[in-house]
Amino acid sequence: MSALDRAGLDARAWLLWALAASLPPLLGRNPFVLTATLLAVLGVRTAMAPPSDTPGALAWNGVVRLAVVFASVGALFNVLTAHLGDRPFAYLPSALPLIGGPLTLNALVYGLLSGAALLTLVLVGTTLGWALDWPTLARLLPARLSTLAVAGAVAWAFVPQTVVALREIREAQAARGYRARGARELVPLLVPLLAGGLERAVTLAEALESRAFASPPDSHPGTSSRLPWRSALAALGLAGALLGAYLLGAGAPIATLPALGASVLALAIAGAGPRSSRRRTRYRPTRWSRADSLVAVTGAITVAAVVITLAADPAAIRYDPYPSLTLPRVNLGLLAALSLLLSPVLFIPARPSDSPIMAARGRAQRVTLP
Amino acid sequence: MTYAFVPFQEETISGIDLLKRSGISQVTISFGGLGEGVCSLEGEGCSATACRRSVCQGSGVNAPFWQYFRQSAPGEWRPLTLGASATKVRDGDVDAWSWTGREAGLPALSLAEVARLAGAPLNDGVPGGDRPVVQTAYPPGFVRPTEEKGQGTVVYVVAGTLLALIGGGSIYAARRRQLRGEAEG
Repeated sequence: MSALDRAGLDARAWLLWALAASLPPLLGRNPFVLTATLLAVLGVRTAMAPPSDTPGALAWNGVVRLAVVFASVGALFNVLTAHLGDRPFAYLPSALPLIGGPLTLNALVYGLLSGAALLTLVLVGTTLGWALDWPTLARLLPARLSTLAVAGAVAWAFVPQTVVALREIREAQAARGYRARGARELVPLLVPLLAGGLERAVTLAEALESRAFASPPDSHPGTSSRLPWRSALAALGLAGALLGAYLLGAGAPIATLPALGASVLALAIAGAGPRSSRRRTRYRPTRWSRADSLVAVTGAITVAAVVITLAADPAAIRYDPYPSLTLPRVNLGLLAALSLLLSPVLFIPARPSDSPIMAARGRAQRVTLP
Repeated sequence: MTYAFVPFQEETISGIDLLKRSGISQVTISFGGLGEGVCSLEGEGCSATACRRSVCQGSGVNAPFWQYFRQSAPGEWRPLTLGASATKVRDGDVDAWSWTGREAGLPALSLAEVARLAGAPLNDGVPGGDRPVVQTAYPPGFVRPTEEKGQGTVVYVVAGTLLALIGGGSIYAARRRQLRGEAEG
């Protein structure tokens, strides 16, 4: 199944959208920015998610529910342990270790904002988990970086596969009349889960090997001497990307640009190496559509707006409710740019079932069947 | 420079209690049994997040952080490396906090001078009083920073409208999906 079949967009456009949606919660806690990002991501996720009764949707929804629990616990923990700020609303006896002291609205606000940021990131990840077609991405990336895509595919598939496997095991055990009542009785659930996970890992490894993913680098005469420095360049490029991400997170957006520029250049040179003698067969080449361009451009505009705002008006992204709870700063241009995160909803071409004819057919069936 | 004069009845109090009683605007973070770390004083310092991570200390050699000193003799400032929570303050002690990396460069100050600079009232010619006082003095030629004016109501109304539009777009997306689901049967 290609990316076009799954969610109507090229994998690269989805990656750019995910980068644009992840930057605001990673860089700051401004409530306006977080709310705008969360709403836009929720909209895209709602529009792109599979029907809620499919195994994939159930698995990812479980991850989102877990994130909501973690976010709530995090907010509560922050209120109980961060006794900072000018708006106390309750006091716990100071004799209580760690949690004793004033409980403040400042800590509650910070905890809720951190929870919203966590939830936004998880929603971006789960949207990507559904929408992104990793095999297509592996084919799109240069051969030298394909291992990265494979690692990403395996990592992204781990959680939903485990959730689905756990549900299947639980149902199978329930059919045998088994009910887990305590921690000691979880063994019949966890042992098959572990065994199934190992079995899936072995199957995946064999599948990857049969598709030549574990093959050594091209060793054609005349090309072998050039491979080591190109591989080193690819590693340097990835390290540069990590350095750029760190600098951006540390609040140095200007220093980020040369690091990311050097990283892109290094990866481009590394990827432009001699063609491998082994060529992959492609039954259905991916095509870059107008919708891909529009989503990629809007994603790039959002990323640029976030980086420029971080350099010129950092308070519009970063917000600290300590020591005083103040109104957060608003940057209307940034909010307008964040609204572009809804672009996948607007630009993805309608599927056949979205067309009026198919919709009318569906309605007619619903009317006549009873 | 901000000066504070803090009277107290107890024989000793901790350095962090002294700071909290002073009335200086501050952000401190508890590190459990290790005591409290000072993140910012009078708006100078680092955010609570950075404070939790590294108690404001950056990676540079001269990266500033809040250092705690006590004057042992006029002009001789001894760093109190155990931290404010583990340090006992007695009557007559002159303590200082400095947002610097290495040398604090603190001037020689007597308790009377601190009380005068903080604006403590005089009792029989001796500065004192029963309430803490605090005052910030700026060196000659230094312009007092003005309070940043907040944004107008219109900005927040427009921001709210933008958020409502994004929310509306999300609802539209959900509705579109629902219609699609109904069409598929």
